[in-house]
Amino acid sequence: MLGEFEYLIISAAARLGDEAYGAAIRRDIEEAIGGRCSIGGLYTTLDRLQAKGLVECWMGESTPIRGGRAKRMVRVTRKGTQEATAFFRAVTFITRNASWEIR
Amino acid sequence: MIRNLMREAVDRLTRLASLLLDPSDQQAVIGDLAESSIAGLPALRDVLGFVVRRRIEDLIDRQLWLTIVLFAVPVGVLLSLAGRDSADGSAIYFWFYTDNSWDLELMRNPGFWREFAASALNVAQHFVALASWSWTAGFFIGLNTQRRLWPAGAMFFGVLCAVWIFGVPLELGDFLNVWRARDFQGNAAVFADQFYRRIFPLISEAVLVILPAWYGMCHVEDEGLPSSLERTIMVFASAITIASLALQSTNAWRSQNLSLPGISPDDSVTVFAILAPAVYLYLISAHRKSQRYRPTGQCR
Repeated sequence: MLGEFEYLIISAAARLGDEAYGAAIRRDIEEAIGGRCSIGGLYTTLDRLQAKGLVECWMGESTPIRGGRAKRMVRVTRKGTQEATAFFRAVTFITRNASWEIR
Repeated sequence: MIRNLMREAVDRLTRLASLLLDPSDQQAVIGDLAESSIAGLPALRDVLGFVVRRRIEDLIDRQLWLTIVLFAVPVGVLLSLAGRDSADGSAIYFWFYTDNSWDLELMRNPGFWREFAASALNVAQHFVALASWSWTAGFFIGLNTQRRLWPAGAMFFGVLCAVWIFGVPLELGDFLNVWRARDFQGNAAVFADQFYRRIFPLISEAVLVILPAWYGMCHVEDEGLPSSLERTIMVFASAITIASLALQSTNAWRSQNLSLPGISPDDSVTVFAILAPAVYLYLISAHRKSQRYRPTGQCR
């Protein structure tokens, strides 16, 4: 089963498609959680996901806006999609009829 | 003014801290920070946090420690001694031909040139084999440690230098079947020259061991081997090449006589030694060729 941060990364990468790379995924996650996402946390989790075969990473092109540095591109694998789907189903299932109103 | 100076100092610290990351991590992180316009203390905090996470991962990575203990340390000892003894062995030829033999009478003798060509070929084969073994050792370490190259590389080069400076403990020397001490008695005239005694071995170690090993590690980082089949092929090729190094006899380096038990002729040792670099060159050229015909601009 995925962890919640792993799920966030896979979802952001899947949403971004061909434009999925470190900085873009980080922006997406920060927007979603309304807080900070550390670079170290992001890249070490990406490594873990890659080791599990859930994403593929490779060094992409460098751009002037990045000071000529290359991007670490990310692509969700078939296995990654299956795991994320299972996580989403579990969260949706366990949340059914749950009320989050503070009493 | 002071604020600008402080900011400049923090940015420098950030760039310095990023040097503790592997080159690919460094590219990705510094590029991400530039793209997101994050600078100053938040950037420094991000980079330092990443460095700490990476080093903690290193400490608990079993494969890294296995690679260091079972491969980097023993092969580092072997290569360091091989570099030293190889320098001592070839120094005799260098000394003989550069310092003594250039008189016209001798140069008119065809036997001299035959002997010269045979010696030059022998020394060249020896150098090529040693450089190939060193490249393969670096490459194998890089292949097995991936992003943990920094600590594994530091340990490997640390062992090379430590053996050079302090020598090898008795038990380890016996286990690895190596000569622990240099021999200055047999060719006293050569080693009376301080160049052959001190400088030449240093040059040999740097050019034939340290540089090729470093180059091998960088090849893993720069090119990578995307498919698992290619990686497996390289692991096998590297294992054969390193085995041919480990099976050398004690006096192989000093006597400039590389050999493998049960295999003749001796020239075949060079084939085993260059196997891994040759297979790597073939795989990379095939990989680049296939990329050239890919319709998308992606790396793999």
